[in-house]
Amino acid sequence: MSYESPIREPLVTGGRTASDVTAEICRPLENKPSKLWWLGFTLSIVCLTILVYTLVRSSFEGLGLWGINKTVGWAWDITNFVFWVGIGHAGTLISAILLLFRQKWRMSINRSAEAMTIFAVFCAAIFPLFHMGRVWIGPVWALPLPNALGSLWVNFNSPLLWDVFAISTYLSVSLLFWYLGMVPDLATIRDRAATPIRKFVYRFLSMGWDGSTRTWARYEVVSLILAGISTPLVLSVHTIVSMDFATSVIPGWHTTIFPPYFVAGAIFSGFGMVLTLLIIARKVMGYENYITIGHLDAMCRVILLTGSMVGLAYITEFFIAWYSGVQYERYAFLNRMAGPYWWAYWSMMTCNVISPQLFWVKKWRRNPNFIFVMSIIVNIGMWFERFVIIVTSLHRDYLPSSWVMYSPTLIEIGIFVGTFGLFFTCFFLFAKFLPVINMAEVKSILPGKAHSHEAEEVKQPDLVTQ
Amino acid sequence: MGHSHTVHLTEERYSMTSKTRNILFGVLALGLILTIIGIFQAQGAAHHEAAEHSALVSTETGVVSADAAHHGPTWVSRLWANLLLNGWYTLIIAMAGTFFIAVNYAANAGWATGLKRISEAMGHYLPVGLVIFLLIVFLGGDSLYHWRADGIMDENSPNFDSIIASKGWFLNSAFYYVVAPLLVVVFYLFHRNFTNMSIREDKEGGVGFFKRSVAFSGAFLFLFAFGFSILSWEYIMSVDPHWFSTIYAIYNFAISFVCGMTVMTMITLFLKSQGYLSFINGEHIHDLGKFMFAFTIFWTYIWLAQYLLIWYADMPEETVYYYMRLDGNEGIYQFQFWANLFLCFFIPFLALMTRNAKRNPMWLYLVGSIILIGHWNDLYLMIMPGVMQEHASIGLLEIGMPIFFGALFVFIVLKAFEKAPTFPLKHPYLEESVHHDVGP
Repeated sequence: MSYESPIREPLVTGGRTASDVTAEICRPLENKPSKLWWLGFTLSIVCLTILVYTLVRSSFEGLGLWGINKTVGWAWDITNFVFWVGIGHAGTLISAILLLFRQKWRMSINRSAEAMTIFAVFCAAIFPLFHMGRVWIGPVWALPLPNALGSLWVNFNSPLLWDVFAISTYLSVSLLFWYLGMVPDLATIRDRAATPIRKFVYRFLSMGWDGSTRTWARYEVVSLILAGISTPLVLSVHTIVSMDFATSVIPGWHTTIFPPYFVAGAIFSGFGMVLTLLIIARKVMGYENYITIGHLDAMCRVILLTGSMVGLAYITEFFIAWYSGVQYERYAFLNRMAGPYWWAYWSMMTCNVISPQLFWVKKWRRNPNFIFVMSIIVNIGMWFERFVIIVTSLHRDYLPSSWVMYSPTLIEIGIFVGTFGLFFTCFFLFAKFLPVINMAEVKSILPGKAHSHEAEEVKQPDLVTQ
Repeated sequence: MGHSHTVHLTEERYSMTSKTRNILFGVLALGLILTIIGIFQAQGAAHHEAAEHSALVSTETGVVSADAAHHGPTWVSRLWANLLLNGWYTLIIAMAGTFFIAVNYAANAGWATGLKRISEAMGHYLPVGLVIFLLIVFLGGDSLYHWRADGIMDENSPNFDSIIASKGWFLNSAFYYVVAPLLVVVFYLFHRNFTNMSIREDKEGGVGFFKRSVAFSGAFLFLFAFGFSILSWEYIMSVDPHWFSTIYAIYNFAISFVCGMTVMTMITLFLKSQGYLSFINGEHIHDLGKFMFAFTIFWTYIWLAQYLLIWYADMPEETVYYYMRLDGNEGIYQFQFWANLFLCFFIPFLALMTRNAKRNPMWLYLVGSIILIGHWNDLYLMIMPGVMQEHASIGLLEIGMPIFFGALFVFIVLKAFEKAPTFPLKHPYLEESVHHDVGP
């Protein structure tokens, strides 16, 4: 059993007991949704409608509706793809890597972060699928099917195909991990269910969970195995996304630091989105005792760390571009800073590198309103990062006669706005029908528990070292 | 709550036994003797090669160039290259000590508190290591760095190299003599600050020192990230002055951390075998083993990122780096290149996979030695092809010098470890470390 230093902040505040945890976390599921929920949900549905409309038009009329051209062959779609995949990194990082690092504060945020991961991956998948033009056959093209089946054998040398494997594996493992972690909580809801329909649905979803020691033992083994599988997966997904660019010979893309730098950036943006969602959720749903200021502080530290890592990578890239003496590399970076897209570059630098440095101040790391604004700035910054990397490196290619500018069309903007609709629709449904916080795990870190272990510890004789 | 626990732990101090000292001096002497014999061996080999070379020249042209032997790398460059390798290797392992202190403060981690004095002692090698390292690069710089050759950045010189000249804003005396050394000095000042606060904490107690250390840790980590990058570019990457890779600094950091954790594990095991730090149990050792395992994978990830991307894009200015380590330079590095992956990845990865492996002291010594030899080989492959081209070889010099540096490092670290109690007596997380139990 472990001992906890008295100087550590409690992870659950307000003297909550195990039954409080159950009651408070089941409350939104067992009551009618609030007006605020309806308002948010309606707005999300409106955005989702925009997504459906723009995607239907893009499919029927073709990609001519997008702003891409022969020099900038992908821009908005790939930017948004990387943006959403990046956001999808925090969930599994929290549940797998923080599990390996024994960070117990993850327990009250892992559920919603994992849900966010899954929804973000849905949003991300839309962009490459629709960029294939004929979406009804595109997914088939991406699968390694033999030529005899009417499709062309895929190019295994292409990182884009590695993406297909990495992201689909990531999605399935994340879904499994998320669902498995939820089973004990679903059983709790089943046991509390008052209406027959609710009882039936949650009995079905909880897969006959009986809470016996044997069930728990199996549950823990499977959780650990899934954590072991997820850890390399989290890193591999954005590593491979970075290789979509870095394996090429485009100045500003081909650079060896891309894999770890993209992973750091993904964690940065993922935590940005987790903060955006949880600061609202803890307020609206009254979960301030579970997602405490201490939790926000810890997440801000992750933001500060990963933001600085990203900053180090930007500076390293620029340094090496200059050091290399390669004129194309030097130009690519000058063009980013002072070319026609200078505003995108400087937005990225301000949002990703400079503003997270404000989190050095403890007072600001513990101010939810300030953090909320910062989390949105981080999201904007990370969107611009991808836009800068993709568009500035493409729009002035090796042949000056093909230099062009790129700007998105209304349809493209609609798709992007629409993915937020999809994301939030999923999230609102999740918040209504599933437990947002992992009840079973949070009960294991209630402050009272630590006291009882401590009492056991005092009696142990082997502490005397000499 | 919890204050009553401290009474169970009694202050202990390490004192080096005469046996340990004698063994260390013995190994040190052995390393030195091997190195000296190795120097003569290298001299002989170089003369032999030079003679062969001039014979070749004379038969082809009929003229024996008097200074034919001075064009290629000589035994002197081989000596300097070995010094650079071992000097840098021990220096970055010492940095890992400071880094580990700072990371634990910044991450609010408690489990390693009982090991803190070991990482403090490792950092105390920094001043010695820095002096040695600066002597090496300042005195041997002309043999080591092609970019320091006369007139290489001067357009009117026959030696002029336009690519190297375009790097003159970084590869210059200001960075070489002032900025980069100052960075290590700053790292050491931080280290001194951490250890002084820790010693004062032993006497005065309270959480004030802890809180200040957390703040200093943030500042240190920030500076370290940038400073370490500059150091590895200035002194190691510039050995191949035409070549560049953005991940290079992280690659060096990966070596530093995985080897730092390995050395720390081995020192911990040694001290435990001497009867110290009895509260450090299998759980701590297991966690140290996990760090060795995890950062072995991290190193491989970084290695792959650099190799795969350069191989894939196949751009001449980058691929030359791997060409010179595989088919180039008469293929002399090829075996070591592939062996490197086994020493630094496959063997430790497989050997440290199970729980029992990470808890078995003898096994950890064995795998740890493989990791340390592996990363010596790793650094060899980073430095030698640039300095020695096809003239490198592994003789007694290459074997003796790491033995010498290793014994020196361990001696200085253990001496530094004597100067303070073996664990931080009043660290607020000491109890957590003493009661560290992860469960099954």
